[in-house]
Amino acid sequence: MIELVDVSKVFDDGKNKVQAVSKVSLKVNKSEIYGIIGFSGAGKSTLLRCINLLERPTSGKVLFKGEDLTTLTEKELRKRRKKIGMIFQNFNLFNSRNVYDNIAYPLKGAKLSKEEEIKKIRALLDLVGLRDKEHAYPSQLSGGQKQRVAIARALANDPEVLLCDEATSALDPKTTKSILSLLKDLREKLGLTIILITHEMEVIKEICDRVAIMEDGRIIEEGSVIKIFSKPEKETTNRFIEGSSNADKVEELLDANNNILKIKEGEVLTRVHYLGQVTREAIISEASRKFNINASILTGNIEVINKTLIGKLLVLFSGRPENIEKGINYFKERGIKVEVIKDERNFTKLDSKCS
Amino acid sequence: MKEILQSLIPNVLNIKEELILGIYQTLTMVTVSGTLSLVVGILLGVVLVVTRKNGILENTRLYAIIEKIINTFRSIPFVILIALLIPVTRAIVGTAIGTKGAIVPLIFGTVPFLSRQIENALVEVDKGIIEAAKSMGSSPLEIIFRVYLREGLPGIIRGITITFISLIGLTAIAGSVGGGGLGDLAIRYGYQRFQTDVTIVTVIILLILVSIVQAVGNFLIKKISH
Repeated sequence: MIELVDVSKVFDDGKNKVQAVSKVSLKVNKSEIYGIIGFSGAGKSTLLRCINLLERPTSGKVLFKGEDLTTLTEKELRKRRKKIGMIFQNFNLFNSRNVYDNIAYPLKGAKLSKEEEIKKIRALLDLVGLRDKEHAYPSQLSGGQKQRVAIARALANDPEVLLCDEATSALDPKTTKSILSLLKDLREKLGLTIILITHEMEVIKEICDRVAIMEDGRIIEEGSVIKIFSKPEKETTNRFIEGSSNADKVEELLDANNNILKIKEGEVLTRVHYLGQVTREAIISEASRKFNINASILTGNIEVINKTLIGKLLVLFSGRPENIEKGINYFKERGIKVEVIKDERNFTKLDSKCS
Repeated sequence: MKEILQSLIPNVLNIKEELILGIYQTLTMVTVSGTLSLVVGILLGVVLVVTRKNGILENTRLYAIIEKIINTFRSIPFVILIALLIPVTRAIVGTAIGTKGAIVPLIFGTVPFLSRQIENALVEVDKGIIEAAKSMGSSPLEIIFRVYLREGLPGIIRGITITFISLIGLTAIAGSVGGGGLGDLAIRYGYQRFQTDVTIVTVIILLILVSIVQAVGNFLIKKISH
């Protein structure tokens, strides 16, 4: 549906050159929800605007259904833009127009009769759940309602793609959830392709199929959301994931030699990662019985992404050193990643006792 | 009643006809030069906004030229501008004196001020809204008429109100140098013949005019703001 080929954007004001986007290539399939995440200044906003050419790329191709938008005349480009909707962080509604007229704005030139227009706009209002607000002005609406109007307006010309520019960043968590589920709904009902940028991993987790992590104008990592969450490769990716869970806050406690996490002699602190299907088995209690060791879960975080579980637990083992070893191996055999953080076992001491 | 007026404003009553003519001339100058200034001023204001840096029809050279001209005219005192424009006025309306002759300098004095007011009003329109209109496939012309002039309307009316008030002030100056109107009366009778009651009456009439303009402006802004 949308394909970017080596897209670069340089801002040049005559004095300074700023490379906002450098050589980004990506492909978004039909009816896919594709997320681009990055810290502020990563270039994600500019990249999104390169898709509908609100920012013209300095080099590279922007393909929409196979057609390179950068080669079109302004007039042809404006026609294509009607098929690529866009919503914004600040909603950007026309304050001088009521809800109905806001949605009617892009319909000018669509050659609809008055009755068709009314029908169309009412259908859009139903779709976003704001039928009763037809005559309200933006100043009378809440943030979530404004974004719903913006979505209805963006969908007025039946676009195939919807670009979301930090669409939920100005909303509270509850409203964010409702807007995200509306977007999900639209994908189901209309087969809409959605490209969104955000700095919140929660948003990616909630609705995206695939995600790209952006840093310094480049895409540094890309893949399915499950893959990115379970096996992140880059440091920045990790930081985004850590920011959205608390499993790693423990490490801060450990570093500070906090009393809560004082590890006694003979104990092993591990981080256990698991994914999806294996989680139905009671592996921890099984290992505990089998090898006569104690496993206590200090903290943990379990994410549900696209109906798959991704777990990250901090487990403290205690017991005979060789049994702990066996226990850890038992985990590993079942495809569970075990990372030893702190090992306070003392084999030699115990060995000497035995002899 | 008549006696009271006779004792309060004796000189005014002696020039009743002239006073009515003066009001008529002032109103003519304000409405004619005001209307023409509106057309030119709004046009220039829009051109300034769209051609400025990062505008929807960015053309920094054109912007710089218009800006220079506006700044030049704004820095010339109005009395001097009237004298300076005499050949231009003659060429356009055939005479440089009387109410007719005052209209040309009044336009030259008002347009630069008004275009700045319009420019400021339109710059206030949220950039994000312009971007949204672009993303919906609007052409620059559509953005000007359906977004800028509509979203910026409260600011535009505010600017027009201020402009008309300052225009009323300018007509008084124009009057004093041969344009007729209330300013002319105040100078000829009030200043030169020490008939203070004439001065006071003209001031009161001008005050009423200004108040009406301000009230209409406020009413319109209130009506269109949501």
